[in-house]
Amino acid sequence: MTEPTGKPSRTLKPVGDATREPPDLAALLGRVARGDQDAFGQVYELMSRPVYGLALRVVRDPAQAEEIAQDVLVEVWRKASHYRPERGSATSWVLTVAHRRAVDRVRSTQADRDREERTAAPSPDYDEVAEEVGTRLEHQQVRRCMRGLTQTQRESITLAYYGGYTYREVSELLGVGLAAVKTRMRDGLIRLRDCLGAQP
Amino acid sequence: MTHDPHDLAGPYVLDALGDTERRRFEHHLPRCAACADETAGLRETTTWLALAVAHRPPDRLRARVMTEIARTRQSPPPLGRRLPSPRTGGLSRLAAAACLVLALIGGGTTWHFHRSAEHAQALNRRVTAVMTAPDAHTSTARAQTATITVVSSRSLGEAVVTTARLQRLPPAKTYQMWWLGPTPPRSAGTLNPPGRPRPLVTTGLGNAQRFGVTIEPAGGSQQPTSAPILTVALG
Repeated sequence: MTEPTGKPSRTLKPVGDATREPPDLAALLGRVARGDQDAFGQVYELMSRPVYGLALRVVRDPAQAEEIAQDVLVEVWRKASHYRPERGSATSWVLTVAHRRAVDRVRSTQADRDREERTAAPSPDYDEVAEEVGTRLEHQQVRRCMRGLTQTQRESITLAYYGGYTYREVSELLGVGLAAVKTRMRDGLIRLRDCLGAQP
Repeated sequence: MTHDPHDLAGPYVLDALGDTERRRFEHHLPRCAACADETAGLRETTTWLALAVAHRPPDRLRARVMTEIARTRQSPPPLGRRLPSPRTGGLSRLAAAACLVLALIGGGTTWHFHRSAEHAQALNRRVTAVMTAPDAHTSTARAQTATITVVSSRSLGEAVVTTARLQRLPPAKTYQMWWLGPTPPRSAGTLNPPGRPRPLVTTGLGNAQRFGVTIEPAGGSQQPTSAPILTVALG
């Protein structure tokens, strides 16, 4: 399979460059789609750290994060032929699967117990999540760019992406209207994108 | 509570929508080129957030995953992707376009395909003929929110045109389509205000190099009286 058609134009955009698409992930997925297990081994090398790290950040439990990472990577094997280069980078495709799986886990396991509780009133979780991202983001650029957001933009994005909260829950937690939360998420992501795109 | 789905791109890419809202937004996305573009862009940004928290998994994970995939059957590619060619792309774009308009045929004559089964079938046959022609070529252009996709076949001299999100015009105005270059512009017919999704077939492709849409006085003009709002290169 040749290089995906969407790729050259994407490299012209700062965002595509900023996400540091491993140069051959999309091509590897093409080989994986045809059952190439060696190619999948390389996909594992490229993606197991972000997939596991993201799951760990969201579910906060190493055993569950490992399970999720396994499920996600097997899903990448299973559905490699479904990847559409014209819809976005291969990295983004894999991490979207990972994030959704992690969020689903958080919502289903917490639903019975404390979900009502945490939507009813801000729980200590919230400060913890917001705090940790400020101090533990490994990636220097993201950390710096996150600091460039307004506090509510940062909190909205952090609670949703790393905390697995819905925007309705974020609205409750922050005491901000639904419309404002939606706007802050979008504006915050745009500001983040512009900041990351401006990096050398 | 009702929502403007356009507001939901941020929460959507953060996976912060409830199931119902997510489904609703995903239903909306293929019908809104601007939303799809924005969503794809924001999605790439969230990738950074994931990369920023990368963490080495336990070593045993690799062996487990490799064992698991060795006994996991792969899902076949979605239908329509096995024959990568301009016309498969055209078909999927056609399916995705929101506001297809009416059918017409050039050379000064405009045929409206009404909603009767007979006309619908006639239209479908014409659309299918162009889309499946061996030399079918797909081009897409976007301007502001509007999108136009033209699947053209030189051998048939026809093109299937789909438009998405064209704004409704005042009654005194109409959209008009043109074959452009190398000869002076030739009318490819007028476009009614966006209505129910309809494909549109135009003839008179000839050796035209580009396809354009202008806004003209109702009834259309002999020659364009304004700059095209959209043009696409033809194959």
